[in-house]
Amino acid sequence: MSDKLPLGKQMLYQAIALFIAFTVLFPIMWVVSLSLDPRDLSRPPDFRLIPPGASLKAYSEVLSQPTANPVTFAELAFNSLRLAASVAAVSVFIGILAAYSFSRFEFKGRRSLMLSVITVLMLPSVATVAPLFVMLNRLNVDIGSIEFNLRNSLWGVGLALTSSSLPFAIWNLKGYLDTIPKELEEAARIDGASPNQVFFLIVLPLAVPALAVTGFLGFLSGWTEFVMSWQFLSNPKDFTLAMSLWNMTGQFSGDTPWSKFSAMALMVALPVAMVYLLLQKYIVGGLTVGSVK
Amino acid sequence: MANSRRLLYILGVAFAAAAALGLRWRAVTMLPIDYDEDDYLRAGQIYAAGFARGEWAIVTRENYRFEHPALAKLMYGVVFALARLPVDSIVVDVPIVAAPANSLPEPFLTGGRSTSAVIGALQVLALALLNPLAGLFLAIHTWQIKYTSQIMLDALPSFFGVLAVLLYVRSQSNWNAWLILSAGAAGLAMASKYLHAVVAVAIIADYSRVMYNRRPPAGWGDAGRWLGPIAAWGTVVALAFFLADPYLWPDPAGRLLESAGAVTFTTTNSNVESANFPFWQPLVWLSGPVPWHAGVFVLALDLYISVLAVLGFPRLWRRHRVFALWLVIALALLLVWRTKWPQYILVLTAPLCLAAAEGFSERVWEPLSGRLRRRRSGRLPAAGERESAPDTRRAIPWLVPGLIGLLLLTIFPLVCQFAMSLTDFNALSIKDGISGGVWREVWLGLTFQRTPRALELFSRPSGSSAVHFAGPGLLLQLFFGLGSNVLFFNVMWSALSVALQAALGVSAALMLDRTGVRFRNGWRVIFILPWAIPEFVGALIWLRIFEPDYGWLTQSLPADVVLPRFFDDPNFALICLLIAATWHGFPLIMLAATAGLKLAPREVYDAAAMDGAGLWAQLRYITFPLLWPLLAPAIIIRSIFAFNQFYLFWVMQSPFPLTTFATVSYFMFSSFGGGQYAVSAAINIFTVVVLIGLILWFNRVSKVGEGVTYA
Repeated sequence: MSDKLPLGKQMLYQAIALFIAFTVLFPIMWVVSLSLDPRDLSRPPDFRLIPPGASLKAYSEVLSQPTANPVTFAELAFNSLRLAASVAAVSVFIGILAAYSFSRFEFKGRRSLMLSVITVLMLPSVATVAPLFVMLNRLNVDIGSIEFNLRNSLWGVGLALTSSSLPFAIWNLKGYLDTIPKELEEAARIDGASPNQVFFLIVLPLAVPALAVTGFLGFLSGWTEFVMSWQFLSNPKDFTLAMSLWNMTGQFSGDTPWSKFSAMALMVALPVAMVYLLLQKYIVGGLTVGSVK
Repeated sequence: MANSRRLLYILGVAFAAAAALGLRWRAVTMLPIDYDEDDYLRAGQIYAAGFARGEWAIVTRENYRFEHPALAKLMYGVVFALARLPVDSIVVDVPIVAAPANSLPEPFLTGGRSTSAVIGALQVLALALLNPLAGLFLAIHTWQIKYTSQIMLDALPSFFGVLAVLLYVRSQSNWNAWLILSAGAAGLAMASKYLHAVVAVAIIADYSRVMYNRRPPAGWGDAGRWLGPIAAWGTVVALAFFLADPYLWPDPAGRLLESAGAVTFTTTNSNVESANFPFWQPLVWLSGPVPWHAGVFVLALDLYISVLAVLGFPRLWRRHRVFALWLVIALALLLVWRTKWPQYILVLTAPLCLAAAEGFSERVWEPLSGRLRRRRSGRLPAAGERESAPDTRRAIPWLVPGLIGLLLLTIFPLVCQFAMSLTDFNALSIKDGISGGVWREVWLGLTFQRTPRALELFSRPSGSSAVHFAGPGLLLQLFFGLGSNVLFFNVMWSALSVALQAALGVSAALMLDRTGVRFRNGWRVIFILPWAIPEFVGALIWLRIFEPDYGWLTQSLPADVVLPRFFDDPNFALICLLIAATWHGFPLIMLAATAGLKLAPREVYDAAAMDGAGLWAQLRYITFPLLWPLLAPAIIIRSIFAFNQFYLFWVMQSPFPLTTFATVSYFMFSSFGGGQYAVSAAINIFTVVVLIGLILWFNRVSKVGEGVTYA
């Protein structure tokens, strides 16, 4: 077996790869081109990667005030970040505890509990909007000077989003923990480690890839969510990036400020895309390794 | 033992036939007048009037609605004449696109319908002789009841179709009287409605297979010995067809052509255009009962007959190959054929019901009776199967946070949804509902202190400011297939989109994994990009590309190429949605497949190549078994995701039945859909149940899936 392909085959593979790459990149390139176009056309007459008179005007506009509300991009991004990070943290924290017990302990009703976790995993996340709205709307937080309705706050949205990312976190983390050999822990127990020490010093470090992935996917659900936020939030100070981006697309595509929209879409997608590309090995490992035993 | 089985068989056949007759009689008296009934009634009257005058040659001269062959119409004429019904005035001639008649003369209407019903019951009897359960399924199939209880053409050809196949089975593919009779019946089916020629095609396919297996032809010269009997059989079919359609006698070729021309006309007429059914519409009809005429059909189990048929198809393929071929050929034809009318599915209901009967015995009856027998013989499963629970105490502290989170944030909403689905909670009664009205009404309802208020699935919300108990009506409507258009699309969508993603993802991974491919890491990074883009942003971009007015595609095409409009052409919309979903979804599968390929040691391939395994054999026996354990979880994740896909459909504003339950549920919940919280909740509950069913089925198919879901 030689490591060199015949030229013809090599060309064929390169051509196929080029074709796929073109299909994959085309929509992305097109958005880049739209974002650079200062004319803000809903129907550009031709397609050029760098449109005539290209400028970064749309980007600066988005940075200073993306929507009609007096809120800057940074404020929106901070809201998104807080929301996404807390969803990720809470679901990973609770998820790993539950996953550990499902993976390591034999207890009454283990199978049926796990089955119910899988059942709720199948619930579409928009499906929980109504009952959560009702539940959170009745809770008013009142701590000294801070007083707000839980539903109409990022806290409430965060709780609602956690409800859909938690079952996934438990399921995915449990799958990963199942692959870590029990013998390691048994050896540690024989050496005199307490159960807590076993968990924190042995299991947790080994589960880092899965934790990273689960956390990242939870982060992603918070970062890109807009449906629940629109139902829950009413104060523009609480709005998130995804909400504002969605808000930009009007009822008819003719009304949409396409340059600004494209610029903002790229700016919203960029951080997540970077993390994705950096973490891709972890992500696949964390998602799939759990099943190989 | 044999005697009691025989008795059971006879009882089963009799029960199926009696049920068929009873249900059809009910439909004869209750169904409103449908499209085309006036046409065939008129055709029958024309013949009857001719017979009354002693003018027998009328059968060669008249064939009202000549796009259809004459036999079924002739049957109505003969029945009217034999019953000596007075044909004083004939129903007027109206254009084919006219609305259904307001009234039709009695006793012609009931007489014609009863004739249909009797033929329909005979068909059930014939199928029940082969398999009583299949007969019973055919007896209660609502589409079958409807179109064999009206003055339509479909009863007679579907009867002859079943007859032809049964006679063929009886002949055991030997050239004998049964085989000739089966050809005759197939010809009569064709002479009643052209579409039912598929029965003849199925028999020919099976006959060729049997002949081939008995003695494969040695060469082309030998093919005559093999093709001869088949050609002879086909000739008998054609002869029977010609004899049974007297309208063709004076000028066979010309009138056949004329009829064929009219068929092409009807495929393009305005009714078809405005109905605008997608290619999968026949399957939608099969996945739910007749949505009209509430209360006529008594039972509405069509969805479950179809599900059982899917489960039973492998066994049908092994045991009754000719019926399986019939089902496959007819289904393929219905999917491809441009004209879609619900009565066309009668061409395959018989094999469908047989498949369902096989599915019922294999998957429901045999496991149940096996368990019963074991219990009776005292061989219960060992007691050790109960879970041992040594760790319960230690597990509790670890579980508590997760359990509280799940209970509050997921289980409680699920229970809430269930409660809401039992009421008529909507935007008008929101005040009452969120301050405890839902629980009050459910409690009162479940303790029989309230009579449930009837509620229709897709109707206007009721105008009351208080919540009312509505009973399980909404859920029942969903479970009996009222949302069958969305249900079928949703299942088809998950299957198609995940299959495309998997095909592209695995192929890309395989290609980049070949030894010596250059820039593979560079390509991989590019291919991963779509996955990194949030789904709704990707959907917006694709909407911008496919949008019919402003979209990039419309603009870049030459002005004279008119793109099908997204919202008017469901087939085009499906393609657009699939492209967008595949673009977004294939990278995950590609990454999973790449990881799996890394596990396969190169030496295995080298050894296989040494042993002479070709590329395909290597893929089939080395690569896929290695990849599958890694791919299965990715595919399950993608399937659940695709089944619940929301952003793509919401952003692309895809036209109504082309959507997922998650999207419909959100639409019903939002103010656009009138804030019908109860309907939205019922849909969510239904979604979860369907998904659990699908996952359990997937677990059966693949052992790996079981590991993933129960782990």
